[in-house]
Amino acid sequence: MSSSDIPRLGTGIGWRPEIDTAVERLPGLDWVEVVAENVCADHLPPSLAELRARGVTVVPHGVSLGLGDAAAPDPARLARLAAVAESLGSPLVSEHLAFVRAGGLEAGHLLPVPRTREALRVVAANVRIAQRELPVPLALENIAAQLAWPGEELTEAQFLAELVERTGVRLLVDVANLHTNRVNLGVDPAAEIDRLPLEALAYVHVAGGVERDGVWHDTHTHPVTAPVLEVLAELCARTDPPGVLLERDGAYPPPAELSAELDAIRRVQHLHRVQHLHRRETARV
Amino acid sequence: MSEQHEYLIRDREDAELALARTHLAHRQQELLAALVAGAPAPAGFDPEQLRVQAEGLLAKRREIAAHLVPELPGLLGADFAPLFARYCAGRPLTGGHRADARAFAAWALDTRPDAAWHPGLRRLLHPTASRWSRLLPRRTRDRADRALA
Repeated sequence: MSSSDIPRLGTGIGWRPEIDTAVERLPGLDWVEVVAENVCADHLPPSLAELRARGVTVVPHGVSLGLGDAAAPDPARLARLAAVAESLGSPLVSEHLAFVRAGGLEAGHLLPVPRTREALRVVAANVRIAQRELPVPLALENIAAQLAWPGEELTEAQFLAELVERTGVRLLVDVANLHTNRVNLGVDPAAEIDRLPLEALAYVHVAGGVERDGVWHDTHTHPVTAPVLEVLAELCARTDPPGVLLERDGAYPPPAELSAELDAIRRVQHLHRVQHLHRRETARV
Repeated sequence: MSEQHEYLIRDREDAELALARTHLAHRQQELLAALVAGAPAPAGFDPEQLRVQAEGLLAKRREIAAHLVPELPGLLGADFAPLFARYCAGRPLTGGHRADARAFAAWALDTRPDAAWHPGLRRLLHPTASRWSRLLPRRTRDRADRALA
């Protein structure tokens, strides 16, 4: 896989029904992401159809496929995700490196996979099954964890790098999740970024959260903070991401605030783009 | 595990994958049961991290219920979060969030018949039982009946 296969998405925001008209009016918006479970392929919300008609790319983002589950992904869930991607004409879909159900119980959220060689075998097999059923490339996202499994053999980035190597899956790097793991688990974001094969990077997630009693809560309902933008800067210092997406899931601010957060993201990208260019020029002289 | 999943074992690689799935299933079941069903903590985990993660899952479940039935936090006010925590204890999520939100509302109705919000919650859950229900459009009545079916 070469980086030229990865579409340039630009700067985008998570489309949510509560802010649909605000999203439609955001200046300079290149693309949106939609939670795959919240749309039906044959009943697309008019707002998404409107954005599609204007040439805005829509990427479905799955949250309950459970590619990190011990069991193979459910064919019905996969078929549904594939149908959503088809109906939106999406260039790719994304999911998480996480497990969401086990033994008949639902976690209701994303839980970390034990990062062992043995689990890697299972997740790689699950990713291959998903890739076979999906009409477009799949990108996998690093998660915000609040616990670590005992006896792990790989970091999350090493685990993702192995998955890229074995399956050709692409990466969705969530810089807010890297920050979460720094605060909650003491994982160094820059070191993790260095372990990722960034040529497989499809896009980046940025989101706000809040720290309470020394625990970072990746709420997506608070403004984006400086430490999260610093992790984005670490990433942009190494590569120019094909896309960056702001996630906001509640306590929606006025559209101007969302727009300002998108501008702050664009500034980080732009600064590093200029530095990359400058370095290239200097190297030529 | 073997009753739930059938693996086609053709060669050594398939056998290793099947074994890895069985082992992973066991570890994940143990952890998830500890986080959402009150099972004992599996060995080797940091108890504080388990506590924070369990609270995180509970908060997420409550937020999704509140998102799906936005009347719930409004009606129940300060009772919502503690009641939801009581409801979740011993009732791990096994199906969808929509069914979960409805089950919680029905449980809250039974559990706190004396609460000030009880009539409001009853009207929310059983709009067709109201004495004015015959004034509702037929479609609304049918929808409410289906939702509770």
